[in-house]
Amino acid sequence: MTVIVTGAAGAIGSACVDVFLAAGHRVLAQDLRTDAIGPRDNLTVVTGNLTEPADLERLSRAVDGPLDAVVAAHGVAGSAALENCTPEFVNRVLTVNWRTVPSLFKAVERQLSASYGIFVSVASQAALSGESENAAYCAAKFGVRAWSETQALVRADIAFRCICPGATESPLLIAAQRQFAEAEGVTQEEYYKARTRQISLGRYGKPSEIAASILYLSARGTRPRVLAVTGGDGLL
Amino acid sequence: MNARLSNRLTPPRSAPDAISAQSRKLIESAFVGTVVLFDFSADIAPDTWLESAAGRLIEHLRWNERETEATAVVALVPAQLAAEALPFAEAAVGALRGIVQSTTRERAHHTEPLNLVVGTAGDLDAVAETLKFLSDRGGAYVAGATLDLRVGRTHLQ
Repeated sequence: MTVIVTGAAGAIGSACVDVFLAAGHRVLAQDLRTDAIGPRDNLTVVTGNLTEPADLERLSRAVDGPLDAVVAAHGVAGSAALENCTPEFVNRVLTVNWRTVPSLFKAVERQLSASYGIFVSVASQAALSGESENAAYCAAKFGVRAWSETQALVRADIAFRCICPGATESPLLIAAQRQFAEAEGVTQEEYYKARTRQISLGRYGKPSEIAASILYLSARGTRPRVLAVTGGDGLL
Repeated sequence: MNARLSNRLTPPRSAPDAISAQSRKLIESAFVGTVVLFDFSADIAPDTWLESAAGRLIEHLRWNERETEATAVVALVPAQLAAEALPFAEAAVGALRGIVQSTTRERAHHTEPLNLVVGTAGDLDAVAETLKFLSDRGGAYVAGATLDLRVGRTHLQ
C-alpha cells in the first residue's frame, strides 16, 4: 500500500509515518519543513506548502504507482478569544485547517479514484462540539468533518473517513495549554489536572494512539466515517 | 429572546440580490434580535462558501454581539445541489454550527446565537415561524442550538 501523509513532521503526522512504515507500507511524507524527517526504507519526503497549487501538483506527481490512501494530518493551532479573532488570524486558521483539505483531495482525486482509495481527514474533538475561545478552529474542523461525511455519501469510488482526536500530547497542545492556564490564572500542572479530570482515561492521548487509529481507518473494509479518539472526553 | 431588542438584518455581502426584499422583510419581522443571513446560492463558487460565511459571522460576533442578546444565523441552502457542491454546502453549514457552539460556550451570558438551516428562500414560512417561536416566551431557553429545517429532504440532483 502507498500512502501520502501530510503534516508529517508534526506530532500526529510523524507518528503516522512510523506506524505505516512499521506495517510495511510505502509512505510519501509531506510537510512545510522536513529537516526532522530522517531517511528510511520505503519513505519519500516531499517538502512543500499545501496552499501552493504547484506544490500540490508536485506532491501528486511524486506518487509512483497506485495511491491507496491519503492522510491529511497537517494543521495549525487556532485558539483565540473572539475579540482576538482578527480577519488575518481567521483567514490563516481557515486556510491551513480547512481550505487545504479539499485542495489536497482535488490534487490526488484522480489517483485515489483509480485505486478505490481512502482519504482520511484528521479533524479534532473541536469538530464534534464547539469549544470556548476556539471559534475559528471549530469553524475549520466542523467544516472538515461535514465535508468528509458528505463526500462519503456522494462518492462511491473513494472512501472518506474522518478522525477526531481529543487532547493529544504535542507541541501544539502544550502551547495551547500554556495559553489556557495563563488565561485561568493557574499553573500548567493545575490546568492539566483539571483538564484530565474531564477525560475518562484520566490523561491526554499519545500521538502513537492517534496514528494507530488512522492506520485502522486507512484499511479497506467497513470502517466508521467519523471516529472520535478522545479517551472518553466529551462522552461523560 | 429579549423582547427589548430591535430587529436588525445583516444583508449578505456576496449575493446582495439573491434574497428578495419581500423575503427579507418576512424574516426581519419574525425575529426580535439580530438575524445574520447566509445565502449559499450557486452564483458564488461553492468552494468559497465556508471561508466567506465563517469569516463574516466571526466578524459580526466579534464586533456586534455584545450589543444584542439574540443572534440568529440563517443559512439558506439550495434544496437541489449538484453532488460536487453538496460537501461544500455541508462544510459551510458545519462551520457556522461550530462557531455558534463555540461562541455560546464562550459568551453564554452575552449572546444567544442560533443556527437555522433551511432549504430555499421559498421556505420562508418555516423560517418565520421558527424565528417567531425563538422570540416568544416559549423559546426563551433555546440558545446555541442548530435547527435544521431541511430534515427529510433530498439534496442531490
